[in-house]
This record gives sequence, structure tokens and C-alpha cells, in this order.
Amino acid sequence: MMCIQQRPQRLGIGILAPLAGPSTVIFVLFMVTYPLLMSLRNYGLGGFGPDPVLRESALLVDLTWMHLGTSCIAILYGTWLAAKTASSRCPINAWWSSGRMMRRFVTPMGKGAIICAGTYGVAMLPAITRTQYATTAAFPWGSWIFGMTMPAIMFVIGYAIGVFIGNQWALVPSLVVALLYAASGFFVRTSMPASNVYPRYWGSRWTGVLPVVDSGMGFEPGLRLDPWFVVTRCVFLMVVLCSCAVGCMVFAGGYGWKTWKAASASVITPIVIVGLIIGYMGPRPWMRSEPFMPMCKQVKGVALTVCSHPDDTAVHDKYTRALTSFASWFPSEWALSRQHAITVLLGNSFTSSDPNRPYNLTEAGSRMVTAGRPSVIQMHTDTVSAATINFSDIRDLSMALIDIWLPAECATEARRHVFDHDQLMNGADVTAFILTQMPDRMDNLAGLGHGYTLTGSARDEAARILMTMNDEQFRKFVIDHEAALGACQVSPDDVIGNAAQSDGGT
Amino acid sequence: MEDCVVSGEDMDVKACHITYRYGQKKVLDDVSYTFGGGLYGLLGVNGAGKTTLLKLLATIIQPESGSLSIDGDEALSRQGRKRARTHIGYLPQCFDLLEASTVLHNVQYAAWLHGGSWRDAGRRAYEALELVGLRERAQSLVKGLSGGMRQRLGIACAMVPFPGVLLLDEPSVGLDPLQRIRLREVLHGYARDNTVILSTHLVDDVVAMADHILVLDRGSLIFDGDADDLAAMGENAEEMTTIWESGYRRLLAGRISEDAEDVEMYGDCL
Repeated sequence: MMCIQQRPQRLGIGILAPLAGPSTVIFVLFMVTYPLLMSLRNYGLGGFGPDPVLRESALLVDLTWMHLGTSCIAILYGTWLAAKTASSRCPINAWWSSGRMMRRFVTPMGKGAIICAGTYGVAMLPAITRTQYATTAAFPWGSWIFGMTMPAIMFVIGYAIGVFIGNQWALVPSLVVALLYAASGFFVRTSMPASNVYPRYWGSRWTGVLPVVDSGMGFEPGLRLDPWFVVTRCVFLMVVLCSCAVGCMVFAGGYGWKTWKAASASVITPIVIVGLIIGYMGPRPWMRSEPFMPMCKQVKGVALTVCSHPDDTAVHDKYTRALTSFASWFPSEWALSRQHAITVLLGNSFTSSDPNRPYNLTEAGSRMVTAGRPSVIQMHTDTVSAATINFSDIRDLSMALIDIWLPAECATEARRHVFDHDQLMNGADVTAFILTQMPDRMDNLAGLGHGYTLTGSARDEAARILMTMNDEQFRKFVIDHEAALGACQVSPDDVIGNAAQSDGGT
Repeated sequence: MEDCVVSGEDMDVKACHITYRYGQKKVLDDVSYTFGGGLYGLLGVNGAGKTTLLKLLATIIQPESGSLSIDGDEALSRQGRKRARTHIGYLPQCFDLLEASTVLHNVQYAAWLHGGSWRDAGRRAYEALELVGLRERAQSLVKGLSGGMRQRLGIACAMVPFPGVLLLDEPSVGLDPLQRIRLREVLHGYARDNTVILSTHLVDDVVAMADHILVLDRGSLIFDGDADDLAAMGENAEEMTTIWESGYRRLLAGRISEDAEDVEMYGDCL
């Protein structure tokens, strides 16, 4: 035997074989793009726009579906790879070749699945890190693994398609399969609960096998992904991998295209059977929070309490800051009085799962929230119920505070016509004009405004004076005249006179 | 050149009453033959059935009737195919390679699929490349190779499992005369301990290297013998096509010799 001097092999080629290095890099870049862009948008990465309010539960939900673009590219990657390395025209690994079946099919499927899953996992790390930094969230292992399985599944399916067809035309059915599969989840909808009672375990079982499914309810504080659901998805992944590998082996053991029926049946049958079992009998994906003890903090100086789920500290802090600013507009006896106390409940986690309980709280928690019979305002998160439909964001809270602490019933009719008149005629018009601007100005001073202020249609001198006040001046005016505003006793002349006094004073 | 051919098995390939159709057209008609060790050349014009016969022997297509056995085991059932394919290396006439990979990687991957570690596969790949004269181009990318080099690389890929039966469809296509001489040497050496069956329409190649020559005409086996038998058959020229007549004339002129040291070019023939 001739002694042949060998050049040392680059280790990377051996590890990656038969995946082609350059193609893999290109596909990885494409797979990473969609989740990274969504992370930038949803999690404020890169500092674009105002900081989002980050919730651990939102991340858990997002991790389970933001793989959609990655998955579609993963199936194309699998097909591309198989069409090259297992092409019917390539003497290396054509279906008619010999060789160890595990190495011919299982090894590239496994490697590609790991790469696709890992790509999604890495792409979501910035969003995970950002959420952990902003909240007290633990690493979302369950949702993370759950999300990674789908690109792996799609790669394996794509690889099998590539083996069966054996050339790059396989990309066409592969793309069709990708789009159909991605779209299928949108047609499986879970009905939303009609009442104010949410089930403890919810979401569609089909989420275990389909990429995106309407869960019926959105994220809420305290939400958790059922670990058994993650196990179910991992089992489904193994079923897909095994059936695709067997399908390829059946195809390779036959006469190529003539064996497509048996090969396809080997792939489709186990996947459909297991998919149906999971879809009809599997666990539901989401677990709502068990009855909990809320985290409540009273805003200093007023009868205003903010309560949240213990997981929702970031949101709690944000709302507390905002409500502290709002409360500074109402230093009257009403705001201090327990008779007009307000308790704000942040999020759907407070919605009960028991028809016999008003809230999803422990006994002690319920007593704490309802002590003193406050007006209870529950904000909703993502999903609306009858009790929370009117309270979706901070602006709704500012309007609610105005209604409770500065009711001004005398201005009710004037408020209905605030956009109809071009002149402020009396105290009711003045009160209505001021109350229309207050929510936006309150938001602006709390640092949460959008930069504009909704005003009525009046444009006489009194209206102009009120419109041209900055937010601080406006607040001072409201504080100084609160009782009179509440009784519609601030006339347009009073506004003009007040402005003249202020100018003379400065 | 020192031999480094891994010894294989002397495989019998037995085809009995093989018939095959493409649609209504009968491409192979009751073909029976036993291929023992050595180098077999399949001659025939385009459409004679050479490629079809090779594909049948490679268990790529299934005969309409007849039987096939390799090394005594039938090769048409599922298990039989699986067994048979472990003994077969096949290179089609038109084939693709992993273009973005190196020459070595292509062969190494083919070797790795048949077992052993990646390093062992690399060693076997180098052996195969040495056989076909591409060792110096091991690190070159496939897409930069000439047609002849690609052909040799394809042969290396088919050969690297060192199968007992090597089936090559038009392996000389694209090779220059010197490369064809080398190819003859390689295949001759390989055929000492294995069975090599190649198809071609180039009479020179077959006469120069084949131990046995088979002639197919319109799906039937019309000749089985060696080069001398072929020359003798030339006396009945009307039984052969124009291409055969040309080869026959050169053969008589003595311009073709297996051991020729001086080579003259006549078009793409020697």
C-alpha cells in the first residue's frame, strides 16, 4: 500500500458534514432576521421609540410564535440541502446509493434540526435578556425550548421533501408546505370566554402541533406554559424526525419515485396520528396564576392604591409613578377621602377562575383589595372581558380619576357638545373644555403623553388662553379652581381675568 | 505506479431473461448474461439499451420480467436490493457533485457514508483520489474543475466504497487521450479483483481495456467475446452500424494496442 501523505482536515468540515458551510451561513442569517426584527420592535432593543412595558408573560407567549419566519426558511434550508447532498443525480448519496442509513439521513436531519433550533434560540436571547433586565423574570426555559422545536420540525420535513424529489424543484412544494402549515394555525381558533371568569388552563391543544394558533386569550401577569406541553411538543418533534427518517429509508430502499406512496405514507401517517392525538387529547398550553396575594401600594397622600401580580413589578412601578403624577392634580378632600377611594388592579391575572369568587386572589388578598369598599378599576392585559373592556391603558385611568374625583355633573351636557361650539359661553362650557384637555395633559406631565392634547372646538379668547397654557400652568389652574370647576362656577371672564392677573404678576 | 487497490470480492452478477420497456417500447429483450470478475465493456449505439442495462444491474430500475442476482443472492426483492447495493458502485452518465465543496470533501463524504470515522474516510478518499490521479487537486473546489477532472472525481466517488461491482456509464466522456489511458489502467487494475462493467460507444476504449466485450443492438445481446472475436466478426460488416465499421477498420490497421507507447490522435480517438 502506498503511503499517502494526508493534509490535516479542517475540523469544522467534519462536524458540519454534510451541511455545506456557505449555504448554512446564508440560511442562518435569513432565519435570524425575522425574530431579531420582532425583538427590536416588541422589546425596545436598540432604543427605538419609548421603552415598552415588558412583562414576563408577554415574552413567554412571544417565544412560542416568533419562530414563524424562521420555520418557513428552515424548511427551505432542509430541502435545499437534501436536493444537493441527496440528489438523484449525485453519485455520493443518491437514493440508489448504498451506505449507512443513519448517516445518509438521520445525521444530516439531526444536525440541521439542531442548527435551525439553535438559530431561533440565539436570535431570541436579546429579547430574553432585555426582559430579564427590566423585570424579575426567570429564564423562560419552557417557552424557549418550545419555540425552538418548530424550526427543527420544519427543517426535517423539508429535508424529506428534498430527498423524495431529488432536485431543486423540491423547493416549490417545500415553500407551499411551509406557507400552508404556517397558515393552518390561524384557522384554529379558540373561543374567548364570554364571562368574567377565565378557565385555569386554557389555550388550544393544537398549539402542540401547529406553528401559530389563536390561543383564545392573550398574555397576562402570572401566566405560565405547562411544562408537560413542552414535553408534548418535544415528543412530536421526535415523531416527525423518526417518521421522516423512515420515509427517506423506505424511499431509498425502493425504486425511487415509484416508491413515493410508501415513503409518503411512512412520513405522513405517524405525524397525522400523533398530531391528532395531541390536538384532541393533549394538555392545554397555558396555566393561569393560582389565587395569589397581590402586591399593593398606596399612592402617597391620596386614597389611591395600585395592585399587581407579584410577577408584574415593572408594570406596577410604571403605573405607580403615573398615578402619583395624576393624583397631584387632585389635592382636594375628595381625593383623600376613603369615601372616594380607588383601587387599581393591573391586569387579567385578577380575573377569577372560580365563579364563586370575585377575583383570582387568596382570601387575605381579596380582603386587602376590597377593604374600605373602594371603587375598583381593573385594567386588562391583551384580552378584554366585560369587567375590563373600558380600561386598556393609562389614559383610561386618567379619565376614570377625573370622573371619580372631579365628576362635575353640571357640565355633563356641555361635555357632549364640546366639539360643537366655537365659543365658551358659561361656566359649564369652561369646565367641559378643561375636562376634555385634562387626560392628555395629565399623561404629558406623567411622561407618558403622545405630544398632543385633545381640546374642544371653542376658539374665543378664554379658550385660547386655556389652550396656550403649558401643562404645569394648566395643572396649577385646575388645582387653584378645582372646587369651582366642579360646580361649573368658573366663567370665561374668570379665565381671562386670571390670565391678566398672572401676566400682571409676572 | 504502485498498486494500492484494496482487494475486493470477485462478484458474480447474473442477469436472466431480463426484459424492460419504456412505455410501449421494448428497450431490453430477454437479455441473459453472467458477469464474473474482470472488466466488461458494453458496446452499442445510442438507444441500444446500455444505460438501461446498467441501471437494471444497479437495481435503479426494476425489470418487467427476469431475475437478477449478485454474488448468488437475488437482487430484486427489498432485502435483496439492500444487500446488492452494498456491493455496487454506480456512476451515471450525467451526474452532479457538491460544487461548493472541495474534491476531497466530495469523496470523503461518500466514504464516510459507508462507515468509519471522518478521518478514516479521509484516508480512503485520498486512496481513491490517488487511483484516479486527482490527489494533487484534493483541496480544489469542484466548480473549478475541468470536465475530465469532474469525470474522474465522479469515478472516485463511485469507487471509494471499493465495491465488488463497479458500473460506469460512459466514463470516458470528456477525457483527453492521456486521461483515457490512465483510466484504462485504473479500471484494469480495479477489475483484477472485482467486476467492472462499463458502457461506451468508443470502440477503442473497450478494445484496449475490456476482458470481455458485449454488444447490444436494439435491446438484444448480439455479441459476447473478446477483442479478437470482435475483429473476426467484422467480416460480416452488414451486421454492424457505421460506428462499428470505423472501429473495425482501425482495429485491422493495428493502430490500437493495449501496450502502445506512442499514441497518435485521430479526432478524439487513438
